[in-house]
Amino acid sequence: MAEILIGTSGYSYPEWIGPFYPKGSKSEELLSLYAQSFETVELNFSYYRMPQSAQLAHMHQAAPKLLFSLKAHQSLTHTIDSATYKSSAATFAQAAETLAREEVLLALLLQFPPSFAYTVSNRCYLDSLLRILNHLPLAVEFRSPSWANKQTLDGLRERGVSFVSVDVPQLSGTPPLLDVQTAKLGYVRLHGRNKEAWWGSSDNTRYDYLYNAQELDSIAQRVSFLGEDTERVAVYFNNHHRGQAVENALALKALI
Amino acid sequence: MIIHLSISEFSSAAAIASDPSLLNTPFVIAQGARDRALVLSPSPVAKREGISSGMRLTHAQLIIPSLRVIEPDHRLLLRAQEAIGTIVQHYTPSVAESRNGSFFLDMNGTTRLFGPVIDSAARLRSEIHASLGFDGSVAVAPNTLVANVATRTIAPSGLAAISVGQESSFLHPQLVTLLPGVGAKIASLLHAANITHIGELAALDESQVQAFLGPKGMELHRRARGLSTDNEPKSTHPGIERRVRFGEPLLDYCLIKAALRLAGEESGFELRKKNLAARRISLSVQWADGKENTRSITLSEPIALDTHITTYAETLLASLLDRRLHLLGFALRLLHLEVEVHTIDLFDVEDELKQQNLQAAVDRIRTRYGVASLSRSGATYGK
Repeated sequence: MAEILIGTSGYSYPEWIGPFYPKGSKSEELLSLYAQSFETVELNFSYYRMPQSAQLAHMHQAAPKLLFSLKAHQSLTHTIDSATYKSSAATFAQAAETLAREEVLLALLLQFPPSFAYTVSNRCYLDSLLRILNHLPLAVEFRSPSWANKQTLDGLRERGVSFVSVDVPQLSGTPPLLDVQTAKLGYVRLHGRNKEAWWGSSDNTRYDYLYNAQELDSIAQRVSFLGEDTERVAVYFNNHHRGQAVENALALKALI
Repeated sequence: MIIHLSISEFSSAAAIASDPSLLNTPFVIAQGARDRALVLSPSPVAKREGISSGMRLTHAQLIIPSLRVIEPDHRLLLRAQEAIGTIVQHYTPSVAESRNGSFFLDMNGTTRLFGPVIDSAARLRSEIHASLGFDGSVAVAPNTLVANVATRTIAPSGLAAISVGQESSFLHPQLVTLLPGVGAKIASLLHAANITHIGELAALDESQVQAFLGPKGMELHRRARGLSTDNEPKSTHPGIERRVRFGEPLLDYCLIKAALRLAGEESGFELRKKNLAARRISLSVQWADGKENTRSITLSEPIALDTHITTYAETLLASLLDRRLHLLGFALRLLHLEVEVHTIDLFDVEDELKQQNLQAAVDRIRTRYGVASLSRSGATYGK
């Protein structure tokens, strides 16, 4: 049975001060406070700005036992420039290696947008990117349903890359739910099931969802099953609005 | 919504569930004369080493010299199928069971009782694993066709959920060989036309499908567009029935079975003459005390070959003969008829093709000399 690690996508939300962090907490204290409740965190800031080695080393020092997943920079997944992506990937990998050396890097998360469809050119790009980053543990999340096919799963298995199981509202245009093990690490991202606000809303509204007890019970069983043949399963709640991710993550921890 | 549960490599999985010490042993379930024996089901360890269903046993033994060979145990499979069936029936009364650890559950109307269907699917998978030791692929989808493709996509293990409205976007990028009804022959025809994905088949117009695959291709075209037979209006074909009244009440199982096989061959011949296949088989037996019992089985894939019809008919007979009493007769019915599309199991191509060719040869003789001109010996002697 795998080690199941539960956390949230991001930790530095001002609205969590009060409901989760003690009132008056300063931003530089949040990570160490977070680490008192969770074993892992998915860092999302690295999507918006390229992370620096020193910055990640500092975070590791603040929470030495915390395991990190690191979301890839947008230049590698959303705003891909064929002329520069290789150097961007190398820069990103160099920073991530800081955590890998300390054995606190769970995975690099490559989250692709709905527009990144299963086309020949995109498959070639993904293959190239995975080759550049293959010395690090990798997980890929597809938001386009076209990647939910056997060739993708087999391809990721061959490369030892985790297929991210995505929990989103089941709507036309969203990817189907697939819990399939393709690597030693199982990786689950729970975005909430806010059907009404999923399309055409801000992130805050889209992720405004609290999983109920029955849904968490089902998620616990799915996660346990992913752990049957894996070494570790990382589970991240991204329904961060109003601290619901924390509430759900703590409840799931209690269940598992 | 439908849940499809499919236990991968059911025969070897049942062997492991029965004897957990086999878990890390490389073995295969194999059958046939020594030189021509085929692997029916490899164990997980054997599979990882490259052994697959349909492979010659001699070849498999070259890959793993210490390979253990186990004969198929049909009683074990039946017990395993029944044990899974018992659990499955706790989730819905509407279960279509097919062979080899595959079950379709119609979950319509269960949400108020059990919550979202995906939650039921997750619980079902956990319960079967915890109680019986089986793992497999479980998929939730709006119809049996999409659910079936989904379990093939994630095999050997996993959970999938395809919602209403996601059918096309899910089916189109899948390999066309995952579509039920596409075997080696049809796949080679499609590949010759550069059609490798289900979406490419769905995009053809009807005249193109007719040109590539003939009239039978229309059913495949419907499937490629995500249209499942079970969601369509029921077949207008009334079904085929054979009623047999024995000259005198019978207790001898061999004689009863012989009569059943003959009835199966006759009804199968009529079925194929009409270019149809059956999705449901029903058998009623009339006892000497005047009582009548009926059992039916609904299949995930339509069948038309004598060997399949008689196998299912005999399974039904075995489950009906639970009284030590003479039989007056029986009625065998082939129901839910639809246009036949040759279904070739992805991993059992050679055997399936042989059976289809043999059946075609037998039917040619029967067409010329009459249906009674050629029968299996078992239809005469019941052995």
